[in-house]
Amino acid sequence: MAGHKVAHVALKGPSVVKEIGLGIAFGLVAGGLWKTLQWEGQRKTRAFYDLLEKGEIRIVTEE
Amino acid sequence: MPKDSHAFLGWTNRRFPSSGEQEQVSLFLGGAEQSKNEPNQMIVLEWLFLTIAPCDAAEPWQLGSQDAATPTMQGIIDLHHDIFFFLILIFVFVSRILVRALWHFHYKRNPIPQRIVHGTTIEILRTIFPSIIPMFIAIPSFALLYSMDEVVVDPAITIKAIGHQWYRTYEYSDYNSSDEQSLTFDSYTIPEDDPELGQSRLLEVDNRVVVPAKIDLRIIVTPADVPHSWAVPSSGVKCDAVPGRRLNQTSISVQREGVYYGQCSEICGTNHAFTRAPGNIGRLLSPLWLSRTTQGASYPRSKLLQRAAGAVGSRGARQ
Repeated sequence: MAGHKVAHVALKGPSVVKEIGLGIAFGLVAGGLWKTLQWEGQRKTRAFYDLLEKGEIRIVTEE
Repeated sequence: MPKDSHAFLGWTNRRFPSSGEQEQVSLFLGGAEQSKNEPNQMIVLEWLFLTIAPCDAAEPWQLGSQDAATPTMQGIIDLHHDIFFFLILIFVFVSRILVRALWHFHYKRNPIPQRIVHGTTIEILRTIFPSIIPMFIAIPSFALLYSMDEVVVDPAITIKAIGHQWYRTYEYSDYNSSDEQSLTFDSYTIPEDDPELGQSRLLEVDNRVVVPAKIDLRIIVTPADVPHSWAVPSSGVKCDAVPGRRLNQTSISVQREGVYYGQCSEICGTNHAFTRAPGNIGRLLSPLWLSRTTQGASYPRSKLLQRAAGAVGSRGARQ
């Protein structure tokens, strides 16, 4: 693909490298948001078990 | 059905309302519920746990997995989240390229299409990169797979789960002396017409399996007739019961007390959908579990459980 540009009669064509680069960038941003959500969930789970271990919360009520 | 209900930070599971009380509940985002009678200081802490399902059974309109109660299930959830990152990456990338291609090469914007026959560089790149992604997926996947396959050498207790059409039999035979019979009981699903107020439909059983928490358990699964499968989603367990002289083994180590529900996961006849695989794993308690579960010191079942609790307790103390 010569020049990585798509030839056009009148308009400048899109740059393949730029489009792929932007696509990867958006993908990484979206993936990063998901990772943030995952880490947040892991933090909450860890906090839950820490509180449970310390006895600050309980799961079963007193009879 | 045990009298006590699960209360987490003062929030009472809506499946187990106190008898005689009219619970007013309001819905949070995510579906968790809070009684309007709860003090406000509990609200802040409860919001932290919105993403955690309030009980260890399937919820209506549930999207994700049930909350993990064992390291195995936590590993499964984490692996899913790791793979989902790549799924999102690829989905966003491909969608963007597709949309941009449609945008740039619209027939009005680009009336004369270019005749492209090949592009060596891009072909090499689009072969190599997609083959690297599965390598990143394989590493945590194999790690989890092999850790799940590890056999627990010295479990605290071994329970046999025997599948029948259409109920379960559980056998605790570790702690009986030679002249005693194993503790064995059947576990039938409570029929649809019979549940008490607060019980989950077609999930509750008459006799729950009671096991200690935070300790390695071995479950041996086998059927008496046709294939069954013993599955508890929140523990990350699914173990097939295969007819013939075959015993399948699985290990779990439940990290918190609770009542865990499961269902038969291998078609076994007309009432397959009405068979509970574990019959509730039941209350998973600390090594002092016995005091909450037996009906009295003289009850035959309690003697075996006392012995088991003693053995488990001493093991727990050693740990």
